[in-house]
Amino acid sequence: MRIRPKLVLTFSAIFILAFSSSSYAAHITIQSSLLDSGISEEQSTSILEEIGTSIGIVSAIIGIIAVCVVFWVSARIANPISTLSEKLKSQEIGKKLRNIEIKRESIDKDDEINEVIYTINSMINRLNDLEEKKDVFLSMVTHELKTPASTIVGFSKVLLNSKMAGELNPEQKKSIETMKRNATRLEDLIGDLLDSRKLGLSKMKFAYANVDITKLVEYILHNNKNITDEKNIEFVNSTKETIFATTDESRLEQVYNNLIRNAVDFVPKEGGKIEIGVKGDDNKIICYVKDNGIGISKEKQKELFNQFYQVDSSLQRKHGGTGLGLYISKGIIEALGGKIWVESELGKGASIYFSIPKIKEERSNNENIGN
Amino acid sequence: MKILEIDDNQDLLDLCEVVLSAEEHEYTGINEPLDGLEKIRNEKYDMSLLDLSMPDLSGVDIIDTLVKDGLINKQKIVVFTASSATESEYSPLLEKEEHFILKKSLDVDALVEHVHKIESEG
Repeated sequence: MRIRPKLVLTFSAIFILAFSSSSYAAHITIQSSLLDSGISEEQSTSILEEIGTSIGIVSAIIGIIAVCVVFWVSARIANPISTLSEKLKSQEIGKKLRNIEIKRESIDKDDEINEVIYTINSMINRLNDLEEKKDVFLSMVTHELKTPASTIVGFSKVLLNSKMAGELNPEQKKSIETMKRNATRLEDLIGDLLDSRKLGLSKMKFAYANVDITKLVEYILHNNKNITDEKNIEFVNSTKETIFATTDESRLEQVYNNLIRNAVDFVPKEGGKIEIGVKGDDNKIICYVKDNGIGISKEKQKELFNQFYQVDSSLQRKHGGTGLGLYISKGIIEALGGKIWVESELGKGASIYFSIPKIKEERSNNENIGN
Repeated sequence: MKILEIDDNQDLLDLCEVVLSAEEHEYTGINEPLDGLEKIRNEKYDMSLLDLSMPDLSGVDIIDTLVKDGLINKQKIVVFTASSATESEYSPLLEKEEHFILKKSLDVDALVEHVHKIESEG
């Protein structure tokens, strides 16, 4: 270990002070013993005064030593640790981690704080490497999964189109529809995994345009009608006004679709009802998807938008999914500058609302990538 | 319309052939990007469909070559971007966005819709 002059000086000063302090302490002890040896009142008053002065000096020395120790500990350990902690906390979630740099006088390798910084930086580099490998792996896997799923969905559509593949008998049609439904589900799940990853890394892109939201809601109603019709669900659009907003149409549609598909899972088998719509004021639009399903307890509402959260996570659960739909919806709405919330009581259905600004907020990303 | 598709996935070429031929388009699918580039250079197509991620020659490389050859404005280009495409792959495409349409994945209905749209725009 190398000898550091500053350290030697500090300890020398403390040692001198401690030595002076112990001398005074010894002096006090000697004076105290004189008090017991039958001296006059005048002498004892003088000794007591001397003892008082010595105690004062000892206290002052101890005080100085304490201040020196605090100063030394603070300069050498507490301050760098606090700076280190601040720098670690300031790292942005989802971004590549930065190495920690703290300007310090000591650049010794043997310095304990430098050693800690070096170790943390090595771990940061390892984490960045792993994160990069994970991204590449995830991209590769999702791509490899998505292409075959898209091919199956595509050919199923071809087979179900009499113009392309001729007429099918009912049994063939039913089999291909099942194939298509499941492959589409696989495609959606892969898409959800990708979106979830993009949101986590703040890499989701948005294509802003002036959107006729009223028309979009009508289209969404039409597009999801087959799903609700299959389950005899009353599906209505209660929009009463014409509303425009500068936003990402396909992402907004994705959020509506997520909420509608969730609602479809939770409405009763008989008499199910889902209501969608949009209303607006000067600055924002408020969209909603309401159902008359089983409702969500207050406790579960708090966790509803968390990643991988399932309202019913039991083995006997009736509803599938990865628990990513609402998490992705929340991420999209927040990235569009809005917020999403739920209003529900157990047994009384659930209403999910989301608001977004009518005009794009500057903090949102804007890259014109098409659908 | 006379349509050329370049994609290293033969299954997707087969799918598009069925779909676009049913829509009465004159369709050619090529699974070798270099051969596909030669086809675009030597024949006139109304529209080309390109896969973004291909070995040897990516969709971006093909577009870059067409830009250099001055052939980019002679036809509409539709690029299918695979989900694995990175931002650095997207960005050169974004700079030339008026020339083509980007798609995140292959969707038969969306493809037919796009072809109709391009056809109606003339």
